[in-house]
Amino acid sequence: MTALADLPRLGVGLGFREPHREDILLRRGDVDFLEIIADHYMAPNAEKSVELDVLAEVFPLVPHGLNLSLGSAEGIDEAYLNDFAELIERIRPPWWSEHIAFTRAGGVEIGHLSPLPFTHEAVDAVCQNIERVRRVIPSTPLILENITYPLALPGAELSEAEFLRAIAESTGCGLLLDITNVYVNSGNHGYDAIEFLDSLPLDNVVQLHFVGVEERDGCLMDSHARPTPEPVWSLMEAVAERIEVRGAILERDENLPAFGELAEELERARSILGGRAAA
Amino acid sequence: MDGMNNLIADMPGRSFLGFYILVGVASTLFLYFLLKRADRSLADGGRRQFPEEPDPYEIAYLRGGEQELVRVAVLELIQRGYLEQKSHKVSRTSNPPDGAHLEPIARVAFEYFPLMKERTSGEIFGRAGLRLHLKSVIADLDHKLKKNRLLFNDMDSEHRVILLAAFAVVMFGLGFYKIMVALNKGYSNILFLILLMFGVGGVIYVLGIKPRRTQRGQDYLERLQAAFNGLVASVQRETFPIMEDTRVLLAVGLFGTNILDGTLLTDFHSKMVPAPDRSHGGGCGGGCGGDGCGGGCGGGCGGCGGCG
Repeated sequence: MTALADLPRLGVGLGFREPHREDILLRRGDVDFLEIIADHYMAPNAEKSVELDVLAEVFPLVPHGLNLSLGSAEGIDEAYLNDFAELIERIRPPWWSEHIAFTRAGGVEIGHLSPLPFTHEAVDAVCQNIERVRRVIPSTPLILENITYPLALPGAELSEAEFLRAIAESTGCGLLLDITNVYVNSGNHGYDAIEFLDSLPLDNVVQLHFVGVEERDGCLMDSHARPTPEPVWSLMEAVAERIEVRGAILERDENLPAFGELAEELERARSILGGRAAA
Repeated sequence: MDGMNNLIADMPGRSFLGFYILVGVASTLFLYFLLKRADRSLADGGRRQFPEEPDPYEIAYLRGGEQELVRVAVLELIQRGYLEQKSHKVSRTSNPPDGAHLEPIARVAFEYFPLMKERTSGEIFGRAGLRLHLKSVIADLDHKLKKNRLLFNDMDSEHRVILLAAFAVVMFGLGFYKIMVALNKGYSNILFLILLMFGVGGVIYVLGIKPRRTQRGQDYLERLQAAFNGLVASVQRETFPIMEDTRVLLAVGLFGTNILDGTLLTDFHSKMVPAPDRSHGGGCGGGCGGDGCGGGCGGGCGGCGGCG
């Protein structure tokens, strides 16, 4: 498996969403790489299959999973894992990503990324699942994303940063640091985002996610429906001062603006993080 | 008489008809397989690289031939303020921008429209119309697409003719031989055999229709259409300034002018109609959509039998 330090520098890209497909293909210079939702291309129909081929031909692709449920104590859904492995075999990405969360419990699909309690038991469950995942997908590095949690679950034995560090160090996995989620969690749970950054194993951070947030009833939400706010740009600058990330993805899902607005955000991120490394 | 006593000659009429049908079906399938296999453009050349800047002219020509390219040229000139359309007539605008700013095909096309004179759609799309005026640029484009193995070239045609000729020799030879034997032996019940030979002629006609696009060309076009199919909805919803955006040209190049129906450019679709033309490369009228001519153009594409 490629060491994290040897992963290619992909630059600044976009979470691929179909409404922007034509713009993305016609304005390639604005996008260095794409992150695709893996679930959309598992056993794809003919149309999605052609789309995947075209995207893979034109851009470096990184698949991002939603439903592997790495935090499930009951283990991994083997069928889903095999589908994911097939996709990875097909597009051969430099890395792939999933969330540190669970989406399935007792055989029931929750349909949402649910936070894990910050306990040693939860760390062990994630590590065991990742061990299983690596037997099926041995050669492509998996990187893990921090999620938001509206409520601090009781019984925590670790802080959020300690929890992420424990998983990263036990598994050797890279981190997909969602700086919007850092901003949301720090706001909702009252901690300092920069101190949080400094307590993470930053050498493991491979990729960033960034996007806007919404405030509802005094609570920040990662709605993926707004332009990236200034505090998140500041966090990106703080990350850039500390490490060189391999890629950053603007993860806009809702309330999609004209492509030009996204391109402006990408350009700003590029000016902070630098673009794609010369081949 | 020599040659009148052998398995074929002695075979009873009904048995021979069964045999002839069997040979005919098997040969047709074999011929079809050989014709398909003869197109090695995709297997040998691989997929054509997805273009960084898709060229609406090249795509229109690949999809539908000369007339589709002509439509894109006229549409571009109208969009960019060089020409204006009034019903079936097109003329230069009173104060067109400098033609030097145009790409080569559009520039040559612009020269076709004289000062102070209107051209009708009949003139524009007629045999002596814009496509004749664009003959040299079309020839260059045709050469480029053939060189890239997106369109069939003359050598491919020769190969096709040889295979069809071999099929014709076998099937007609067998049929005529049996008729001759039958007549010599005093039989006159040869009507069914003659009908079957007409069927063979039909098969040769159908398989003899020369496709324009190679498998590589078809694959390229289909990938482009799949990748950009969202443009159709955008054009029809007019989510961008339809009279200015170059994506309209790409959409028309890919899918034909049918997609303009109901938009600000609906008149262009309905009035800038080529005259029926059965010649190859004459295009499929207002848009064969995703199927091109290969699978039959569907409604509104009459005269496209020869496109492939």
